[in-house]
Amino acid sequence: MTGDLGFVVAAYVICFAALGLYVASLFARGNDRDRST
Amino acid sequence: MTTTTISRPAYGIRVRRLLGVASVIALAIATWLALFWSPRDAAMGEVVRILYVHVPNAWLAYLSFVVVFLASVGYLWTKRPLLDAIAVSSAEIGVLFTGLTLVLGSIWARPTWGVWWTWEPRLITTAVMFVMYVGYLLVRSLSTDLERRATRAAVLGIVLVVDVPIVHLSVTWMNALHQLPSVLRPDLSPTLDRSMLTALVVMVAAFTILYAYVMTARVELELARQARALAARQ
Repeated sequence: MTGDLGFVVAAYVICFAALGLYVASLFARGNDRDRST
Repeated sequence: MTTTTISRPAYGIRVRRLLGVASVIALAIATWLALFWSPRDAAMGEVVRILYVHVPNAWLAYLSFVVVFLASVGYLWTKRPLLDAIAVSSAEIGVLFTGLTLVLGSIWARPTWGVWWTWEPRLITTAVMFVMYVGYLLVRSLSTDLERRATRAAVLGIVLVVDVPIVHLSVTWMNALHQLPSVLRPDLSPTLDRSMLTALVVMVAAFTILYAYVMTARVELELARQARALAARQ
């Protein structure tokens, strides 16, 4: 049971970390663009 | 250095902010429903909760690639750069969703099937879809000519969508280890418990709002890139 919860936690952490990093990368690319204009 | 000014309509920024806030709130509610409100599965136990993020990622991957297809058809028809920007943006986001679908499916498979990966139809066709759309993004970098690049990409975006129904129906066409569709079924009658279905539908809605939010930001970046490339050419 504890092992199963570990898989669940790992899945949610990986999913939201990846989505969050992608959104952050969009912000970073937008900021780079604003600096170059 | 050549400078280009990209106009940002105020209503567009407001809509994006609204989508961003809505996606955070919706994802928080959906995660609470998935982790704490929905029941554990009689056969899978707690591991079933992984499916509340695995399935929305897969569906949003389908949606992203259908949007690539529609924008590609629109681009070939009208040659509007906005449609090319929509296609590349949706392809990039679709690759992210497909990659997450594969990773989360693998994490679910380990305690359920006993393996991280197995060569069965749904997994293979999804992996092929992932590689094909990574290829789509790479093909775009082959040409610096905006129109040629967009036209090539549009043709590819139309052809590659063929894999989407193949991925979805692969479990019904072939003898598969992956379970059959339990929501998007031909007879439109989900086989899920109502509380599980509610948590799943709310998570899909939250992911769809997130997709809309990310698309608005990514399309704006692509339009800015197109404008810079045009300015550099002149």
